[in-house]
Amino acid sequence: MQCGIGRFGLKWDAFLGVGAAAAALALAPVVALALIALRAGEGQWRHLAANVLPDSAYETLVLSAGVLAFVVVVGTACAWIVTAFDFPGRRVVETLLLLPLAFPAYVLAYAWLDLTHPVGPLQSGLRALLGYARPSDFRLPDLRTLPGAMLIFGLALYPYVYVAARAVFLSQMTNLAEAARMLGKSGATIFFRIALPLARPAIAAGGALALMETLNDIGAAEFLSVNTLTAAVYSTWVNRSDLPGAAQIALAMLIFVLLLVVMERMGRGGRSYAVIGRNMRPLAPRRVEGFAGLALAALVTLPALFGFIAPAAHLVYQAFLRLAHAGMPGEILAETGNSLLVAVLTTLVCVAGALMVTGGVRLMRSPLRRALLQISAVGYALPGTVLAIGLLVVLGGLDALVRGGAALLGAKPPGLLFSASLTAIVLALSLRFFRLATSKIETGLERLSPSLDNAARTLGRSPFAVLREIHLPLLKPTIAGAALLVFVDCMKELPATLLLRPMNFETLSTHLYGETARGTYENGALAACVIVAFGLLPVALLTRLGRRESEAREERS
Amino acid sequence: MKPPALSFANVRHDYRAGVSALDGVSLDVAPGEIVALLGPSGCGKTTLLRIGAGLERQSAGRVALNGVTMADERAFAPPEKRGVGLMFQDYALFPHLDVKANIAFGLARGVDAGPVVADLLRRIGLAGREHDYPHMLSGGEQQRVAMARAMAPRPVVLLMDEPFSNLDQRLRRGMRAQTVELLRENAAAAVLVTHDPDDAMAVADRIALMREGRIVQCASPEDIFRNPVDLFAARFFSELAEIPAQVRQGRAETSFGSFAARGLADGPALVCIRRDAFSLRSEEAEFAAIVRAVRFLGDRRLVVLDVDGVAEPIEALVDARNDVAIGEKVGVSLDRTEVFAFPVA
Repeated sequence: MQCGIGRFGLKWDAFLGVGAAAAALALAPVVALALIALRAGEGQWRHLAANVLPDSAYETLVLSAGVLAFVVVVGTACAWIVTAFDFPGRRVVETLLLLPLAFPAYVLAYAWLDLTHPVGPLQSGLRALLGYARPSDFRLPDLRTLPGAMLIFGLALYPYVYVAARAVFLSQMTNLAEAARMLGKSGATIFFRIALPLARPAIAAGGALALMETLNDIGAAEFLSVNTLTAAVYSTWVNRSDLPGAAQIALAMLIFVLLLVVMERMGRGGRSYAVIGRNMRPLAPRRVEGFAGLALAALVTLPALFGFIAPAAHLVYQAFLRLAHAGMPGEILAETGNSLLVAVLTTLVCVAGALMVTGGVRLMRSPLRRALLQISAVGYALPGTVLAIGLLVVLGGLDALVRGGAALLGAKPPGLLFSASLTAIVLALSLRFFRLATSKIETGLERLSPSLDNAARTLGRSPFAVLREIHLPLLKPTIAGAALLVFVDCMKELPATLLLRPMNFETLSTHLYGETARGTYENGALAACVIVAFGLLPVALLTRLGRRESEAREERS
Repeated sequence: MKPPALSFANVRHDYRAGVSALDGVSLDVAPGEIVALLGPSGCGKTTLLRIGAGLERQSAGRVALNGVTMADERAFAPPEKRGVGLMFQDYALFPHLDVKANIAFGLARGVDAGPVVADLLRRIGLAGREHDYPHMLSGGEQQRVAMARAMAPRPVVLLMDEPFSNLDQRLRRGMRAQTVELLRENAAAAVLVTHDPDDAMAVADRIALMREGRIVQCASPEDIFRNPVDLFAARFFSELAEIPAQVRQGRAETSFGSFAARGLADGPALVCIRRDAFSLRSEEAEFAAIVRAVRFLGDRRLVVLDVDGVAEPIEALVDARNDVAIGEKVGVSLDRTEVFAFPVA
């Protein structure tokens, strides 16, 4: 049975208004990109196609392929090991493996570059250990290469696959695995013939998200000297001020993105992504004792060690040194304030907008509203640079309009009102993270019986009153969760903020970018620590969910 | 004369072109009357209820409350403007509100909810439970609170969607009686949807039997039970032995007797016998049968009979004290009011 009212004609209301506005805003940057790219002279395109695109596209492809292989293998293997085997410390490792989620790729790249610097702690320590006197006598291979970048991106992003695959292993395959056991099949067969095929859609979806993050990244690729398409968009605009050129590369990137969206959609099968199952009876893991157990524990700890423990420890140590040496730098507080401002505003916009749009779809079900909801969420797939360049085109047009209007009225032309402003950043981040909020809230709404809505309607409530009096109070935890996700992603966001910020407006992430780009690593540690600390919040939430589920598991057994 | 509390006139509903859930339904519910919409799942009864509530808009036809049009081709009043009470199959109590706030939810602003809620709670036997939350109530208590909530705003008509389906057999009987009592006290018109003929018979003044989007028959429980219009209506209320027969001049002839078949054309027909129609070892036996199997059911005894000239064995429900042995030859008589003749479908 469906909820809501069918067969309404197109009747304008607040829900539809918000939905239409959100969809229009989401589409505007893409349309603007297409328009400006078409307008550019053919000469520029030839130059780009001949000199910029092939290299960037090649490096992006190779990087993506490497990252995909890494996250799929490491993510799936870890998920299987922690669900199918019981070894000493399994509970702890299960959680540790989630921690790299707290590291945006650019922070991880920053931390490892500092850690493996020729005169950094790792190489100095190794030299001392091996008896070499000077850095020129002994050197680890340079991280600033394509393989190095694959490793860093892979370490930062494998949890996407780990979480998705683990959810499947925990919730969906117990009966099948038991059936296979009863038919006399052992561990390896169960993994390859049952677990892997079952989890393949989830793994594909997780892999697609990891690749979207790779395409989105601007800092890590640059620090690691990889010339990706994103970096090309950025430098074409920032260094050469060639907006049509940047738009053209951005459009080329959209083809990559489209492939990823298809991959993720097919994987998700229309469902929300990180559903950590409820009411599940997990697979009984096989006990591995003694040396073999310890070896297994050590093996699955490696990704967490390199992806979180070592870099985090280094950052904390560096930040501590810095604080002891020079005290708390004032700009860190100001930058944290700016980051918080951007994140809070974006979170408010996203959550309020998402409530109106998803609530409208539920309460007034109509194909139009559903379509608007889906369009309004496209921003999640757009790399931050692409989105920012598209918005620059739109907002630049608005600014030109304002200036033209001012000139016409004989007034003094104002500065740029929209192009580089707090509004622009909040708008860009809202578009990018809108789907985080809508998909969470949609999942929450699906859990409420439609007859609750209908009951309230027949007892005299308008659709908006149902949203306020029924949905809002019942969805409080869901809304808090959605807000937290959006908030933290905003705190970590770099590319769009970097392109759209006003002069002298620094956030934690742009500060870190600046320090690393200048090569003054030691000054960035504090900002990096703050970013990672915020990044840990949703991980804590994830593990709390995990704990609740394992408690339930123990109760049942 | 007062207009009907709720009136459906020629209501049609098409989910998609060519797929109709309702195919021209007309039904008037008088003030204070309790009508049951009875039918198998998918017959359109719930759709009709939702159209009455305004949760669904019909494709054609008119819905009126107290003579005022709520929905037709031009106008459509949304549910919150109708003043119709709807009770849901899953009760739909708001989990974040306590019993009092749930019941008071539909009351107009400015109305003092306290006395209204207290009075309703007393009547449903839950006095003093104002501050319990829905999850603290048993299934039967939730059902009663849901009903009190729907009735609190004194709706023109109370619609109930399978009100007893979530209750176990024992609880059901009590709740049926209590529901009727509550409805009568409030003199509210009510329409309940059910697939269970026992629910319908126990509660309704009138039963509208539905099939494939149409009302097949609409009559009082006794009338519809005694005079089913067709094989479907007869089958819906009880199990039947269906025996092929030949109609000749208004009589259906079988190997064991002839039965009234008024209005049936000459030719093949079915004689349908309710399991309660049989008397065994009767003084004035009409025909003989051999007992094939016997099963004791507590208050009744199920006897399976072989009758000469009838291919399938026939099931009869008789008094439990009426003990018969397998293989015994018994004389059988039939209560003719429980025997029907219908044309072969």
